[in-house]
Amino acid sequence: MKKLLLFITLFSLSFAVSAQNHGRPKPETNENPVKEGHYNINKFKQLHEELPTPNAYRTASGAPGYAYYQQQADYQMSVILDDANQRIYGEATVTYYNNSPDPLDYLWVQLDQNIRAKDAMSKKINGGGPGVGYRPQKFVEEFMGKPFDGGFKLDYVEDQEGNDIKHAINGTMMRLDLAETLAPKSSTVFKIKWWYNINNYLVARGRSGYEHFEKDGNNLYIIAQWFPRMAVYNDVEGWQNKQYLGRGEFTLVFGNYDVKITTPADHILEATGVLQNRKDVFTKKQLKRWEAAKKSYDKPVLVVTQAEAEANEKSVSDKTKVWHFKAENVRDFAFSSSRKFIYDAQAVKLGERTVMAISLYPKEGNPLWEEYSTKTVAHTLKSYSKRLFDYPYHKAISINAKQQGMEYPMICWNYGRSRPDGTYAERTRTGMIGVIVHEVGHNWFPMVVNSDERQWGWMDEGLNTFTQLLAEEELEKNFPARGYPKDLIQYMTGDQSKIAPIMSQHEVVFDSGKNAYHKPTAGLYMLREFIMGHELFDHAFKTYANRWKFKHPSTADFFRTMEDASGTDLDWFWRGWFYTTDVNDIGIKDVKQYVVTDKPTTRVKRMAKAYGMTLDQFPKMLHLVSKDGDDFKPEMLDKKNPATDFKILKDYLDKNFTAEEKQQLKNSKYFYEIVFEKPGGLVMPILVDFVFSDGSRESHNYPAEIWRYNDKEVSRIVPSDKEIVEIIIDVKEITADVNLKNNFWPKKETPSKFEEFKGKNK
Amino acid sequence: MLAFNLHKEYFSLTKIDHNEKEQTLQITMRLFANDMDLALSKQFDQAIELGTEKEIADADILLETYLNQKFVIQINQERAVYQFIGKEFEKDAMYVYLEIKNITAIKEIEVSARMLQEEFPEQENIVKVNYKDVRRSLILTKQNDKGLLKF
Repeated sequence: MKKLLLFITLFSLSFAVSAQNHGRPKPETNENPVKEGHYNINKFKQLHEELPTPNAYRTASGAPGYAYYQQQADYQMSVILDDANQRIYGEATVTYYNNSPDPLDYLWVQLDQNIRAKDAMSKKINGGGPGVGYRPQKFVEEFMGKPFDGGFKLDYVEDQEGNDIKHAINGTMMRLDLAETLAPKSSTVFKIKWWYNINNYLVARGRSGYEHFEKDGNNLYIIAQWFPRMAVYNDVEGWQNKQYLGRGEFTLVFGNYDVKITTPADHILEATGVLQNRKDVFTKKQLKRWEAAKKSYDKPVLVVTQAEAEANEKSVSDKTKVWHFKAENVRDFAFSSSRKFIYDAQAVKLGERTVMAISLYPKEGNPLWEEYSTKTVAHTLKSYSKRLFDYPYHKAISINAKQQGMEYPMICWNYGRSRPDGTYAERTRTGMIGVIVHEVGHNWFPMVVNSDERQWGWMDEGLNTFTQLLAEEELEKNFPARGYPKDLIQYMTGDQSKIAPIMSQHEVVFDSGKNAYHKPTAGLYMLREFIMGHELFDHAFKTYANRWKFKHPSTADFFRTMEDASGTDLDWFWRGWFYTTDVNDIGIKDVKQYVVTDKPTTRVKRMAKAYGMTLDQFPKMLHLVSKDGDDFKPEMLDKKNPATDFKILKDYLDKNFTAEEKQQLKNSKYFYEIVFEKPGGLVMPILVDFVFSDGSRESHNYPAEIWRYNDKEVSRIVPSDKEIVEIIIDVKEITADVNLKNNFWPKKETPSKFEEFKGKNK
Repeated sequence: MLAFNLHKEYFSLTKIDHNEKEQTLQITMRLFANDMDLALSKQFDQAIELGTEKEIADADILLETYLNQKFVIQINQERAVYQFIGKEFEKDAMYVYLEIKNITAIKEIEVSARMLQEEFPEQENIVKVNYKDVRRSLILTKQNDKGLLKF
């Protein structure tokens, strides 16, 4: 220590002397100004400022806290589907339970149909030029002063005794002003009656409505957002107060449903919940087939055949029938009804339980649907249950609806129609399978793991698309699944002014498909493949799903649980991938080769001098000398085997290792310094492959933390018993590296897509 | 909801690279196969079935005809004629390859790209030009479907 101090003193002194020797006058200004400081801009800075402070409702580990609560809403409803006029008439008795510690003076109810009201906000917030073409109906609605008369028409809102409840409607929401404050741990009941015109969703896009079949005059209804639904009140957002504008989906409370649906007598219907009166609505034949389906674990059984459906669609019954459903602990209720429906079902074993996979489709869906729909539902139930938790409901239904892909508890709408001649494109088949896996998968995220869709699209879409990708990989080899890191490169290198971080409210992200679906999917894929590994990731992902099933998780709960359950600090990853629009680009800047010597190098000599030592006093060591450096001498290459060629190493080995142990040591003869560069803003592990002269190869994963002191450049010494002839970064292309040009040593010209294609087609 | 249904992905990407050695412009265009199938089928009033096993025999000719209307390049103020090299499909995308011969020096290049805008008014056609390692790009929309780059 003393010597070092002396050295520093001497050095400073000599510097001072040499400075004086220049003989310049002393400058007036400060020659060495203090540089401007900065906040912590390290990419590994913890997320303390981004994440909310943990509290009694939500813990720092990402689990529900001891004071966690959630509200509940039970609905008793009867509804009439008026097929002749395409209308819904409904009546509901809603029991709302205030489980929060807060007294509530008013309740907010969501009136989502009002998105189609004549004066809806959703119609005024979109700019743009004319459309390509307008169907006559649309033209009249849009330009001739006769807009579609959508939205809820409320007959009354009253309390149990029949007194009107004061209410105020604000677009797609309604405030009920309670006569008495709703105290914590108490409940209130209100009654509401309404009707609305059902939209043709093929004229104006929507998540629900009907499709009209010109040929036979029938309608196929997919009915959702059809009743006034309680908004969520919780510790994160208070009352959900964001209007339904079309993209940001739903934020809903769990509850129990008792619903009676009246349809024309010749309709076939499915809905959320357990059917209470199957005997009244199915024929004897259908009942028998249903019983057979409950025992058919290998293939679907037709409950309503195509012949029956085709006969059914030829006439119109003037009678009605009532379908009675009860559902427990669901966040929503939807149904689908048509005269055209074919119906098939099969049983799926999940642990000790049997769950039914069901499909309803018009003949226009066949032969695609009878072949693939129910089978895909069954596969999804098994795959997701294994990865997350067993599917908690008794059935999962896939409804064939043109141009749709939308999810509700136990039931979803999926596109996919065959050509009129009964054939179909492979693209249609895989597209249809993909959408079924996706929408059935939504039963986990967000139907059960009930995140706030209005605020965050990625929490259900991203997590679901990721689980979908894994389910698709299991389903078919080379299934064209989407959301791999590689698929994102084009998006991530796009115009930055049109890219938003994943952590953006869903209505304001630019490219929702990439932003809320594929980017989170690719992120989770990377975490699983090379940041956390399968075991740690799968456990943490499962922990998140199980902690928050039948609850309302927030974004922080997800980030925290993934870290907490895996023992991995991922703040850097969430920060980069979720909170910024930075890209990954890691390359090889330089590769230097070294040889071993026991002769003192320039560095040693300098250091000895600095410490005031002679070279003899300096400890005997081995040194690595760059082949391009001044210390290098050709004869150094003669010593090919450090373990025997250098006495100091040989003596050490002989003294400390048995012959057997020595044999097991790596015989390092080649030494490389690899300089990695990182033009990309993201930090990411370096996945690097070494190819050796004998053709063998080795893969290494340097964790992202390698960048913690230098965000631009970092080097590694790599010892090897064989000569390295090639070094490749991210050989599997799984890190979303946007520039592959710098991924090779020696540099390699990768042919462009154009040249590749031209080469193939010569 | 399905990402496909969000219909927020109305864009194409066209890369135009100058190959000095061969004195050509190599053009790689990426479009959504479904969207192009729809647009072509409407334009020529028949089911084209792009990229499916039912693709009609003269699909390439119709595609080339369509592109000649919608995708116009002027180099040094002269309309350039491109050759249709071919197309291929990858997942939901169609790649179209075009080539312009005898291009030695570019002073300016004007690109007009109106593909799919007749069908989807939101369609954005992104064009990236790489000439002697200088990279420039254009984002062409229905309202602004033409751009000029000077080198």
